[in-house]
Amino acid sequence: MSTDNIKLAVLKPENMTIYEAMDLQALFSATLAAHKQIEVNLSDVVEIDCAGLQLMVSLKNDAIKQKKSMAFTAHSREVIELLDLFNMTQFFGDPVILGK
Amino acid sequence: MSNDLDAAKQGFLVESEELLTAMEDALLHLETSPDDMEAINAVFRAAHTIKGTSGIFGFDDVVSFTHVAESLLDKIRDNEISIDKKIIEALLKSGDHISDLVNEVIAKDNVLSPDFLLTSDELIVQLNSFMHTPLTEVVSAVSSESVIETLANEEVISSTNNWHISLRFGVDVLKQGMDPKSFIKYLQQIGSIISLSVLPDKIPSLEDIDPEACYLGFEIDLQSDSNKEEIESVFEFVQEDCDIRIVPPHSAISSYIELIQELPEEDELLGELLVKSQVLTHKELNNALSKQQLNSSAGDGKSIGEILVDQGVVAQEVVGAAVEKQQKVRTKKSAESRIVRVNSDKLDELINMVGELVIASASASLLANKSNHTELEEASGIVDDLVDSIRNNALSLRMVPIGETFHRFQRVVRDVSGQLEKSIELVITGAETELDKMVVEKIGDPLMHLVRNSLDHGLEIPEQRIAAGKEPQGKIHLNAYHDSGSIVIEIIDDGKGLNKKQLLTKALEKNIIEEGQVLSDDEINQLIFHPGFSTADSVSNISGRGVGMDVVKRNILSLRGSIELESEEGAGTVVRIRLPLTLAIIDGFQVGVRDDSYVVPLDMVIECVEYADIDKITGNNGRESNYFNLRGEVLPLVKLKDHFNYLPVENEQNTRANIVVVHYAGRKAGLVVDQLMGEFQTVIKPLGKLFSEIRGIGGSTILGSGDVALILDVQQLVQDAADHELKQVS
Repeated sequence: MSTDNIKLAVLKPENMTIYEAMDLQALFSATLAAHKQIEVNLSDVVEIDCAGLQLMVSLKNDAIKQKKSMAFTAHSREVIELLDLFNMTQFFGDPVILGK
Repeated sequence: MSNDLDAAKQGFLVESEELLTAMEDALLHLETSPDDMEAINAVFRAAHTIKGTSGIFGFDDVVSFTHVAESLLDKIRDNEISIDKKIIEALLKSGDHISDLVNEVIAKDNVLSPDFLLTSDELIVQLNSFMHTPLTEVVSAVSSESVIETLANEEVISSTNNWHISLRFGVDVLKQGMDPKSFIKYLQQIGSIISLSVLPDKIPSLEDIDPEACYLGFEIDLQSDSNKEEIESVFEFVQEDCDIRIVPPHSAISSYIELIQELPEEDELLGELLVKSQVLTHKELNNALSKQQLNSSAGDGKSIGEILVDQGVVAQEVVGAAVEKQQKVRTKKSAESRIVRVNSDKLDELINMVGELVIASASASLLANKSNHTELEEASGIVDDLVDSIRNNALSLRMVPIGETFHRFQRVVRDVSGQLEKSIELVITGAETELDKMVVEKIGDPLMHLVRNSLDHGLEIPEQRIAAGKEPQGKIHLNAYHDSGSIVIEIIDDGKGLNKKQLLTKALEKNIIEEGQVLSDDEINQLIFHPGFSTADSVSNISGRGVGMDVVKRNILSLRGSIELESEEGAGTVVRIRLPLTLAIIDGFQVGVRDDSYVVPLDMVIECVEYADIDKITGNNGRESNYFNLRGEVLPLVKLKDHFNYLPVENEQNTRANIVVVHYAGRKAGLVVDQLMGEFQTVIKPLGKLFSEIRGIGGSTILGSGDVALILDVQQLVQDAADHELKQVS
């Protein structure tokens, strides 16, 4: 991806399930290593499970630790549902707007 | 089917009788020590159990009545009401009434006559009055309102009282294709999730994360009507590698305790008990058990209860209740296992068979002895020994202590002394003395009569007693002991004794004796056993209808027993009943007269001596005297040959005679016989009515050889010897 450290990286993963977890982890850690500002656009996420959620938590935690800015945006309906179910909207602290 | 039900009802009848007896005993005990919690509990248990069982059979009238008594007892148990004489009186009456009710509903198939219901109502009013609830209707209206209130309250409470579920999913859950999300969603279906928090702490950084592993933990508050097992079943598929703790709502603790108490009373392991009451799920139990094993191998032997409490799986109170229940069941169990109920017919059959066995083995050993075959004799000797112990054991099965019969009189003495305004104490000794069950059953009524007689006629009212220089409280003493193969039952009172003058006057009035007839003290005392004799000036409802003492005597004679009465005017009366220990089989001593065999009960035999010519004393009339000098003691003789009218034979003189010294009720006599043939077990076969007039024969038996031997009625023979002696003296 981008090698510019300052630049904002926008990720737009599709499904975030156990099947994609391996790839996602690689993507997330690579992005985090390379960028100071990360945005993960969740609008395309149709399926998400706990594996995906864990990765979200992990990415968020790491970003905070490394004092990098990180936000999840454009939550899809499925992501909102999961965050609601797990009562985790507050954990991420991202503004959640129900997309179309 | 209906037979089963009938049997069950009969069982209930027996059980309730036992419970009511226990209740009565406890109540009487409470009279003297009203603070005895154990006794109060016993009374409560009796009422509670009867109510419960009645409910099962649908005896609603019994249930509704017992319920009131139970409520009162519950209040007493909780120290809301302190027990006093009046309450005990009412409870005793209630106990009687419950017994009547139970008998009635079983006999009449759950139909009660209005009389019973009337008594029920009267007693209910009485019982309610102790509970400070004069009008039941008003109270029930009030209480139903308050019930609604508490229900509403409870609902509020339970909404804040939720199940708490701690979930720590196993690492491999996701890999196994399961998503914790779906479990939470499923939880939503069986209840509503009040709060849920995910514990993200364990999720490692992106560097370290295994994207396919699960690091999630949840803390969930769930409001649900499901029980623990149901909630746990949600996690059925992930149970193995997940750490799941389900903590019940606070309000559930009391309901657990209730559940534990309501469980059927079976001896169970603590864990099983907890699982049954839904406190614990099987999985939790298994976990705790394996932990226990682990610990104990590590030398840290904690009980399963402690482990469960430590793990926070179960509340301390709940374990406490379960342990209590467990212990209660165990004590009950051990009491139960000591007693086996057997139909008495079966027992009788067994005794009969043993009787036959005794005869058959006697015959076998006789043949063995004749055969001169040493080994055979030895074998038959062993068989004889065994038969002997079987006989003893079989007979002891029928033996019951007389205490139970005695204790029944506690109530009688209490009630009657209350009615007569006398202060009377009942002393019981020798309650452990055993006798045949059949005898116990038959002795109850005569004893009752004698006790009532003592209470009514014997013991005086306190004023009279003080005037006579005695303790104001009268004493009636029931005593029992074994004496030479009989059981002796004494009813001793320290009352005014028999008034001999009064007895004589009465006897003259009733033409039982004639004017001028001289009677010994003993004979005067025996007058009260005469039919139609009563000295009471007024007929009370306790005794004194003039029927009784003769019936008492007849009943006791029919049990092959005897009754005697000693009385000292002003000092008291002793009535002594003597009964054979058993009615079926005795150890006998076989003697021969000419070619006939007779059997003397061995218990009555003291010794045997030779009756040589030199010992024979010639009496005044030139004939052989009926006395024998037994080491300086005058022993009256009963010559069986004379007694049973054997015809004299020419060369009789040559046969050597023997004396069997027997005793009965403190009297001795010598039975003169030809041969002594030794001991053997004797099965008593009653003689037909035809022979009832023959004096001195108590029954017959069959010898090993198949011959018939007559069993001597030693009591009668000794009596005859004594009478003969008296006649000679006068």
